Amino acid sequence: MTKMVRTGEAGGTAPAAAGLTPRRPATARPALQVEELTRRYGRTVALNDVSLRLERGIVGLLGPNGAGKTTLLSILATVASPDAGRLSLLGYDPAEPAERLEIRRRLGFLPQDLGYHRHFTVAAFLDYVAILKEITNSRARHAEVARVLAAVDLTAKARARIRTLSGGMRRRLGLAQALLGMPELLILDEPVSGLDPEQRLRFRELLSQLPGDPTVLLATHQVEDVTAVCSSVVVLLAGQVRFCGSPAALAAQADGRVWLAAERDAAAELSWRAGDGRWRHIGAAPPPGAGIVAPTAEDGYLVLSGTAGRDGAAS
Amino acid sequence: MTGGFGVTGGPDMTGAGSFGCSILPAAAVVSYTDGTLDPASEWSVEAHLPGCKACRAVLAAHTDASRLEANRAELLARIGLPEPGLIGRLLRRCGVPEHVTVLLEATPSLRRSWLAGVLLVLAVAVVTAKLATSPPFGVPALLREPGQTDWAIVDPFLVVAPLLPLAAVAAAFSPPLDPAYRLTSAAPVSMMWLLCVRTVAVIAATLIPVALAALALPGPLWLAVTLLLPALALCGAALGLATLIRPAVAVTGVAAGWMVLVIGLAGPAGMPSAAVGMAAQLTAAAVLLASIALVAARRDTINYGWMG
Repeated sequence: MTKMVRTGEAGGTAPAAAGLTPRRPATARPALQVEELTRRYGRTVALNDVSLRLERGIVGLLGPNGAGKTTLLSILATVASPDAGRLSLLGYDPAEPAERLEIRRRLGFLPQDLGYHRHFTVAAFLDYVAILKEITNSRARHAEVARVLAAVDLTAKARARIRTLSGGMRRRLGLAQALLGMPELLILDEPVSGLDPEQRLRFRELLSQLPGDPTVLLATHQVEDVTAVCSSVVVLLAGQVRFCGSPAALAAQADGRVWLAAERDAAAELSWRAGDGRWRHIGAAPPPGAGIVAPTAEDGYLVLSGTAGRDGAAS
Repeated sequence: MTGGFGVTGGPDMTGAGSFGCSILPAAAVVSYTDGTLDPASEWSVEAHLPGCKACRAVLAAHTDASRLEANRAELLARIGLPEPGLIGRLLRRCGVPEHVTVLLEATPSLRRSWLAGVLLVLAVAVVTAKLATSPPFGVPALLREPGQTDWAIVDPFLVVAPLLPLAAVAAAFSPPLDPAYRLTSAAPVSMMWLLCVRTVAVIAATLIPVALAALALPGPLWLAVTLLLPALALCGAALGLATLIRPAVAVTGVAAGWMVLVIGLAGPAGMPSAAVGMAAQLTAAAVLLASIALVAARRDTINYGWMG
């Protein structure tokens, strides 16, 4: 694989040629504010009275499958509407048509399932999405397509049909289309799914060097990605927000509950054998002969999700 | 533009020779790398560079690597864009803006394979009707009363023809056939505008062969004209209903309603009047107007959450 061109390098020249500049924050309000949001699918409650207030920065959204992450992101991306609750994105109310348009003009969205026409090449797909994003001038559009292709290291694949790409490449292509137009708000649903470790590192590098310093909401199952790049974390369990804070505060959820021992403790809530052969236990009571260790964000997440399971919080 | 190095005065020789080239000044080569020369001077420098090592050294020293990389990326991206197809070229010749033709060319029901399917259906209908009126398969037209139309031959076409534009409109907005619909829903492009542009394009692309097929049928020439309103009414009704119920249900319901109307209720004898008669034309016009009003009133549903 060739070296990924840093966003700053590619973005430093092409956007100017394209006549595009990163959008400035519309107001000094929080990037995202959600109050008592509820969404049902028939009898299933996907989101149950969700309230959130997120400042600008990179925010990680953690939760198991079926927790409501995709539903929440679809609503935040203005693709779906809530059944109840209020919402403010970048200071705009998506319930108002004119304000919803302003949100969409500032939005980059990577859905979980990236849809594309079978006949599209990589460049043609990005060209198509750029038109949907109102970049109608062909010269500016082509420069912007080139910029995002370079940003995700897919320039050499510009002529390839999408259906011939690997899963990881398709994910990078999805990320590229979200970056079109230098959005102020990026909503990414499972962006690192299918990426190998090297590509995940480059994804982190890309996120931390995005032009215009956009707000990023990133849903993932990878806790280490969240701790590596996110300034705050939201944990969604069974359609409810169970935690919102910094990665360090998430780790602190497991303070005094993570132990290392030579033997497995059947009484522990969770336990697994670490690489050094010792057993890592999560539980309130220390196993015999165990030593307490500093928790990680993953431990904090496991404590939260384990607690949710015991509480029987259901959708 | 660099003064003194243009089409009127030719290259400014000031400074030439100081870095090993007796023809061009280094500043001219630097301006070339910056992209600030006028076209004629650019061509002059480009013609000179292959034969001058000193100027190539200046060029290499002043070339902005990131700009070159961006240019390369843009070039590769442009190469990756396919040439416009038949529909795209036709639309551009008609003055349709380039970006609109790109959106239209991605419409499933404007793809070559879809249009080929429509042509095939129509060809089968026309050939079947022709065979039915020619010996040894059917009754020769000469044996019928002059001016009399054999409606039994035309009936299947009357039932199917207005459904073809309806199917094309449905395909243009069907999530399974437009896999990028989720991205479209989150984009600032107006869904209402997209709806209008694509609907007009697919109806036009489908109705033209339908009209030509109607003219080729062994029936009256006015048949082609009378199919227009029912076809538009079906499309309008489906789009209007799609703002109230799921699009797939709306399209299926409208298609089923049409079939019931012309086959079930009208009966074999009443078929022509039900499909192309004056009452049917007036009804179709009323349905079309009501549908346009409904779509306009419910445009926010189309712009938000229609496909979500």
